[in-house]
Amino acid sequence: MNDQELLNKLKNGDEKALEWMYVSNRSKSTQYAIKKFYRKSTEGKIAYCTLDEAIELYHESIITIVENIREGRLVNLSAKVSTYLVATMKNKWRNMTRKRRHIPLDTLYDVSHEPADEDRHIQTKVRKALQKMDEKCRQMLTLRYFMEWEYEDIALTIGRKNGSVVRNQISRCRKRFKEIIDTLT
Amino acid sequence: MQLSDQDMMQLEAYWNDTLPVAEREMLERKLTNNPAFKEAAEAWQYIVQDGFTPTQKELDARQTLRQQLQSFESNLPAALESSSRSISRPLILGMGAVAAVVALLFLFNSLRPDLEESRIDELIVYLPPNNQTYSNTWDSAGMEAYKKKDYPLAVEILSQAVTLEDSLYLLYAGIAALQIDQTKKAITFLNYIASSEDWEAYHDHAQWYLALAYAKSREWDKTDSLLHEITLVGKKHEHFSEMQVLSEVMEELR
Repeated sequence: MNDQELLNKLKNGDEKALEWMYVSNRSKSTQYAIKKFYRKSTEGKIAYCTLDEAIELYHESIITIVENIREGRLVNLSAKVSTYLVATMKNKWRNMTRKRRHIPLDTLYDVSHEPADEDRHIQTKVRKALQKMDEKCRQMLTLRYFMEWEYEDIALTIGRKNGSVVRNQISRCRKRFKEIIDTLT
Repeated sequence: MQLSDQDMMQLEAYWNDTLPVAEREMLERKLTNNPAFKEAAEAWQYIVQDGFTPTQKELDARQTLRQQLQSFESNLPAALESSSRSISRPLILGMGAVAAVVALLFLFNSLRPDLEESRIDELIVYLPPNNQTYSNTWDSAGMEAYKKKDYPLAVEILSQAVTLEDSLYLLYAGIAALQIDQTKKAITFLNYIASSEDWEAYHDHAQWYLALAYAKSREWDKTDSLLHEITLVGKKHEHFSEMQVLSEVMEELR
């Protein structure tokens, strides 16, 4: 199964395709996390990502990617699925270990409260505005805001020269996005 | 008031706590002194921080997905699971630490000055690799040879196995080369890891073995320079205590 076939199947909720994606990337992605991800304590000691943390990151990254595929925000992949997985894991790890974000993984991801009416309204507006944008901008804003990737990772994955190029492109997309969202009632 | 894109970018960096201190202070002053700017900033914050959060439908779908993934994980082939869960990193590091302590005790008990040179060799202890599996046969074979302490074979395979994507094997290739007195090769491999931004987490190990490689090849200035770097890090450095032993040995040798 190539990545485009996989993407189409994931979009349609094919469980076998999900399992195939899970099993075929699980070892490589979690081993990458175990080897590369670490945090430093205030005393400067290095603690590597544990296997359990790597598995949890892997799960949450698949969830993020599949969600954005199913919601039509990621229509085409500019790189291999495995590249998207590892980049998502990397950014989730980075966000989790940032100074002011020392909170457990499960509380970071499990937002189980019922959103207030006004939150629902802004969520709907954001999604509508994104659907009105061209695919390139939609993909970049999705990677930046829904998936919380750094500019450099977006550049590496979608084949731009560097993070500054992506920053400028996102800047234009953001301006357009803001204009669209302001027109929505 | 309309925010410029520069404002939006700066505000996002501010909320993510990645804005440099000087810009942060300037932005905070602007937020305090300019009510229209503050209002526009809050409107953008509302969009960015609430608009992109998952809807109830997405949250429910996530929960279902999470359960599916957990069931895939529990049904994984035993081989895949056991290979990654084999020996925990704390155990490996613990064994490494015990080996290092035993080596150090041996060194401290060794008082004969004519053995100074071999004391460098005794400091070159086996570094257990991380709890990792390998994606291709070269990596697996090279690391198996390293684990079996078949250092000539490990050097031969690992120096060919290295790819741009995963060059960490150079650390083990360097240590293996050092074990069999291929000091030049060891210096080349270890230098790469010690200066690679990709492998910052392994710099302590790379620096230490590199210092040993320089000491073995009598490049005292370079050894001194590395030992100085380790001293600057102090006790937080993984090899701080062994470094002190090496300093003493060097004093005797020079």
